[in-house]
Amino acid sequence: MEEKAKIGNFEAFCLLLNMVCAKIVLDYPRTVSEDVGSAAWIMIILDTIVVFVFFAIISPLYEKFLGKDLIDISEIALKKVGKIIIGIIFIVQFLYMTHITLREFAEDIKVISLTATPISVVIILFCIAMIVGAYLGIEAICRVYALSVPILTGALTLILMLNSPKFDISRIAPWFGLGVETILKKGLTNLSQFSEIVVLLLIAPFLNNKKAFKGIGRLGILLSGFFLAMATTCYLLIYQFPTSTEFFLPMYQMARIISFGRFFTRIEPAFILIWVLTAFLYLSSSLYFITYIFQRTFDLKYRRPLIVPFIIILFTLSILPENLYSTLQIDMQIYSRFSWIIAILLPLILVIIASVRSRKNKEAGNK
Amino acid sequence: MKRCSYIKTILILALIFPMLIMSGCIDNIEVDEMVYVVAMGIDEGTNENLRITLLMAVPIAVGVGPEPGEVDEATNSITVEAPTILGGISVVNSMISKKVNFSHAKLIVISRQLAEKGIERFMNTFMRYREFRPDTYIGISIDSAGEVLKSLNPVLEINPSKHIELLMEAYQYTGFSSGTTIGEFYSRMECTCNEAVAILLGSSQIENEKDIENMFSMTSNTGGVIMEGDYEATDMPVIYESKGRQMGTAVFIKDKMVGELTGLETNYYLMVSGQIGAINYTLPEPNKKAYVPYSNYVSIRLTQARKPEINVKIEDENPVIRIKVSLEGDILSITGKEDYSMGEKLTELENYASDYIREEVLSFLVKTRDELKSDICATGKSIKKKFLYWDDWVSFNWPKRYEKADFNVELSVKIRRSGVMVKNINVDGVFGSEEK
Repeated sequence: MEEKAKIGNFEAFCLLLNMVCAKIVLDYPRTVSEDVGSAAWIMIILDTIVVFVFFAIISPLYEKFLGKDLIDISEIALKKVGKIIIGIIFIVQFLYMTHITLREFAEDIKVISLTATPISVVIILFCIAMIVGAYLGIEAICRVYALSVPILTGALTLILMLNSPKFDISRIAPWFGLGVETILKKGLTNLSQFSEIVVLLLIAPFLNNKKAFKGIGRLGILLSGFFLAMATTCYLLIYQFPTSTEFFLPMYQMARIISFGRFFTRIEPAFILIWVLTAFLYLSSSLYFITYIFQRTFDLKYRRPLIVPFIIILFTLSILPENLYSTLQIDMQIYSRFSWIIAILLPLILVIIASVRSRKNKEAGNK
Repeated sequence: MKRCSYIKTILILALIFPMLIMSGCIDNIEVDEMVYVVAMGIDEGTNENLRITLLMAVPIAVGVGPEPGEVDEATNSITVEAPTILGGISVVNSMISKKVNFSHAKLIVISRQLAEKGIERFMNTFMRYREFRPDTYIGISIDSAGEVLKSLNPVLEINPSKHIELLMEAYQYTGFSSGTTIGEFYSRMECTCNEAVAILLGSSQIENEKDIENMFSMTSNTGGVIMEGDYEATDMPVIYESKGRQMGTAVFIKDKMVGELTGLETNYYLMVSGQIGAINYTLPEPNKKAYVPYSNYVSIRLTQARKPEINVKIEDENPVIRIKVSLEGDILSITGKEDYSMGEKLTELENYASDYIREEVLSFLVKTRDELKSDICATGKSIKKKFLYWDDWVSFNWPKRYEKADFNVELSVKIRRSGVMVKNINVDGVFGSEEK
């Protein structure tokens, strides 16, 4: 059934946008300001340019493999054994980022809304939604994306704009923050924030118009960079460095201070709705990709039986960190530093090797 | 096919299940199980404790539906001593039948005694604990914070929450206080280019006219007429049933209170920092000696015409701060016989008002520099924008530089309207003078 799944261009674009930008509602504006101070927006723009260049290199090479996903490409590049190793690397990568995100979303809910509910119960509630999403498959998830992402984007923009009376340009001065060297150093590791673009290489075979791959990627990277930079800049225009490094949930904090007169205040409950919807979509698609990569790596006939075992693994991993701080440390110290190597550099290397191999094979065939 | 519909049923139930338990499971809250704090006061207690006073709303006394409530019973107060705020709240929770909730708190009052020692430890609680909202007002009481809360009893408004909210918002049309909220205070406290302020509160001891006479007899020794607003919160010549007063501004360096501004000085603070609403401002008649008894006055409704422009230049290692303030106003009343509604007289009034207010603003700025040593008008923002690197900016040490600043103030007042009269014919003009 799933082999017949078809994804439209807009749906694929929405998937990419939400996967990359979901971290805005978590702690992204805070972590980047912690890295480079008031110049966080400059770093994000530089990162967007670098990722765009990466994609510009990878996309013409990938055009030779239209209809194939990253797992197929790794098989072409590194044979059967290589495919299994690469598959396992990507499964671990997705498990890592999904369990951190699951715990972070659950912790956020616990801090601001369900304060007395045990964390395990909150995680289970998220897991239920993940199971439903992963069971229904990528086509259903992408259709929900197409419906939700325009609303989520509008709501996020509204929250940022409603804060505009409080913006103060002097708060993003000094302009180069903690220094040009820091921007470049931290900018390299912060490429990890674009790790989710790897999903484009996984959904490529499902695209209705496979040639639109390039356009979806380009637009997705540019708009993701735009929203990441806009959210961070707006946050910094309200909370100057170093106060900007204190708040656990920057967007929630921004929603809390919105007030127009005595009537239009306390809009953060609406923010929680946006936020949970973003989380459900992100986590459901992540679980789907974990099971999908596993199925493809080990050439299994069915994907759905993998959902329950993986949700149990994710649940267990997500309750392992001792506290909220440990979760944030795992995210900032490990995932953010190294994730870009797997999600951005490795696919590029694989596509280059696969191109060389396929050319050699073709030449050998011609001889 | 049958298996498929079975799974779909499970999925639908799986989606409905969270909706049911999320709304009424472990975190369920019944509104009537809470007591809502309207305002909280913090004083220094015995043995390093805090004396915490809570002013709580009594909803049933406020009134249910169209039924009017009892103004006197709309609030209830409780005082507790504990080492921390939330420790004190736990003690209160153990005594009353409802759980204390701060999500509708409108005002936090801290005594001057505590504020002078530093209030960072309290700010941490207000910013970290989610029940406190960033838009809660913060005030410093000249005397006991608990007494101020008890004296803030509503008289004209039955809803205590609305009473306090309206009272704190009054700065927009009086200009006598700063309307500072917890969020603003915290942000400014941690800022490297400006200092924080808070609302100055007090409870009045004045009961009758005799008390006012005594008050003025003391001030007349120091000479002259006192303009309206030239007071702090405890020494206002007002007789009113509610004894709580707000007038003036508490000035901080980082988290420590270092001094006060009077209500009138707060006007100038709001003018320079671009926060002035629409205030009634009185000045002596042009070319008449100011501050003499039975002088004539002109009252103007002043508003901000444009955002103030602040530029800072460094000359000989010291900052030169150029401030351009543009105000516009309407004439509200003229107590003298001269008519300033039009022509040359109008220009004369504009020039005079500009010079008069400019002098006052300048002496206010000099006070912030020499006496308070606190850049509350955020003039440092202008020079911060000229820096490229954070370390350079921090080592520049703006707060120390501000102490050596020179001010260059340009202030213009443009009179746009003269009320509902275009000119004023005085009585002598109608009947002719006796000399004729």
